[in-house]
This record gives sequence, structure tokens and C-alpha cells, in this order.
Amino acid sequence: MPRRRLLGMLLVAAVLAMPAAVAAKSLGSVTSKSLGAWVLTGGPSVPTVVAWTPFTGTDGTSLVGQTLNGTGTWASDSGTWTISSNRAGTPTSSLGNLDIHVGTQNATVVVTLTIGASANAGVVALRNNSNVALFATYSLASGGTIQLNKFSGTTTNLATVTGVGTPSTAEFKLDATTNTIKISFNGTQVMSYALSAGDITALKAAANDRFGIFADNDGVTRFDDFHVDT
Amino acid sequence: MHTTQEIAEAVPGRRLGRRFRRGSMIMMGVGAFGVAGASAASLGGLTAQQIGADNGAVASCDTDGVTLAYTSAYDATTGVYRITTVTVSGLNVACNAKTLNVTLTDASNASIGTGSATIASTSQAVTMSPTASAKLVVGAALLVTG
Repeated sequence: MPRRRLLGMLLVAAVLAMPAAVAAKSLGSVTSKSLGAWVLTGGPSVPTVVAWTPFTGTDGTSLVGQTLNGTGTWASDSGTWTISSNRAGTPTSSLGNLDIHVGTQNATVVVTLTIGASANAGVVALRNNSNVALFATYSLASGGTIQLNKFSGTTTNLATVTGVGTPSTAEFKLDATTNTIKISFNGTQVMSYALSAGDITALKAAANDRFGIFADNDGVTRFDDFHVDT
Repeated sequence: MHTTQEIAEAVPGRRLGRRFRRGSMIMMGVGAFGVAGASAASLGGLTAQQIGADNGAVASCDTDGVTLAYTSAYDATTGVYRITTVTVSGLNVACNAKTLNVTLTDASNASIGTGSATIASTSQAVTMSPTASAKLVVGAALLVTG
């Protein structure tokens, strides 16, 4: 091959050997979608917690005289109430109450029970300083029984419901409105009692503003996460 | 690449022919051009591209409004009721499979609770995390994306 032609071929080859330009990469597309938007005003309707305590403290600490979060100081007419494993209990087998002034007769008292083998415990409501009160208790009888009793010198059973269940722990709630007492156990309403005129006279006076916890010869059941709402 | 002068000096006494000299010049040009070509290639090419997306209308999947319900639970640690779930109802089926975002706001319009869920029906529950104190909630902002 003539040298001139060879040199020409080499020149062409050198040009063709140059790398191709690098194409710029695609950045892709940018998409943003918003398919619905609303602004709603207004908040939920929830109770106001006026007093609460988780019963946290040193074992053996007496609860009488202790101040709760929010408002109220524990008082007791009977029973020895102390802290045990960050719960309240009355270690002696006796009848006893532990309650606070709430300042109203329309309130809801809530507590979590750790239920003992001989359970007979619950809440007290609408108590005055003369020990006129409502007591609602839970026992393990008949698949779980709740009794609503009125004490005014003597004890009168107002209502009883059975078969509410026998869990090891349960939330126990008593809701006192103007004319009605409602009780819920473990999140389910199990009782609704309409107060009689006599009940209202005895229990709805201004002095009947104490709400709290109650045990009747139950030294095993423990109480936790207590609060009173209005 | 050797120059014509260097080649002449390497072979003493030899005069380089005109053809050789011409070929050398051509090769040097190719070499120089090749180097320059490689340099140009390393810079890459500049290609103008349009990378913006076109605007287009995005239709709302629900045009007749929704309703909202709160679920609260007592928090024994803080002694308040907190919003645990927000249920949005009245969602159009066209919103199915899209994401529903809920933001709870307080009186200063600050976000105090959020949650999101994939819409599966006309009524969708959204679990809130963090949970907000129910007493502080004065409103909610809802957003559907997808």
C-alpha cells in the first residue's frame, strides 16, 4: 500500500478513535400531587381531670394526708391505706374508704383494680362527712358481680349485676350525673341506676362531694391510676 | 513522537527523504490532533435539555367535604386524656389507596399531633403519634396525597 494512502487511513482512524461526547444525564421529571386538603375547626369533647394519682411511692407509705395532682387531699374514716408496689391498698382486713373532696356532686371516679382472690372492693361516691355515701364494689362471685349500695346509717342495696367477668385487672368507673349512676367495668357499661327522690335528697346535697376508693374486708385487691373527672 | 530533527540525529549521516518528512509531519498532526481530540472528548458534550415538568390540572379526589371524629384515652402518666385516633369519614372512593395525613393543631396553630394512613374505605382511622392532649386540640388539617 502506498505510504500516502496508509498515512491517510491512519489519520481517519485517529479521528474515529476519539471517544463520543458524554450525554448529559436525564434528571427525570418532578411531580408533586395533592389531591385533597381540608382544615377543620373544633376540638374533641373530653372530661376535665380534676384530681389524679398513679400511687407511685415507697412501699408502706401512708396515703392519708397526701395531696393528689390537681386538687384534693386523701382522707379516710376507716382502714389503713398505704402504698404497695406503686398501688394503693388496705393491708388489714377491714372496711375502709379513702377519698377526697371534689367540690361537686356530678363527677366520675375511675380506678384500676388489681383483683385479689377475695375481692370486695371498688369506689365510693357522693360521701359526706356523716358517712352518707354510695359504695360500688366488685367481687368474683357469679362470674364477676358488681353491687351498688347506699349507706345512710344502714346499708341498702340499690342494684346488682352479675357475669361482668373475672379479669386479673380492670378499670372500675362510677359516673354520677344529676339523676343517674352509671357503672362501667373494664371499659363496658354494666349498670345504670336512676336515683329516687329519696336518693337525691340523701346523696345530692352540697356536702356530698367526696369521691374515692373503697374496700370491704379485702386486704388483697390493689388500686392504681386513680382519677376524678368532671 | 519524535520530531524530524530527532530522527535525523538518531541516524547520523542520513538525510531524511522528503516523503519521510511529509509523513512525519502528517503523523505528528494526527498525534497532536488525537491528543487534542482526546482532551475535547474528556470535556464531554453540552447538550441543552428541558428538565422542567409541564403544569397540569390535578383533580381533587373528594369535592364534597369530610367529617372527623376523635378517639381519646386517659394517660395515667400525665393525668390527661390524649387523642389516640382520628377517624375521617365521608371520603370519596376516588381517594382509595392514597395517603391521608392528619395534623392536630392547638390555639396557636402549632402542630401537636400527627398521623397518616393509606385510605382503604370511605371512613379511615388514623393512629396519632405523637398523641396530643385532647384539651389542647382546637382543629385539624387533613391532606390527601398520592
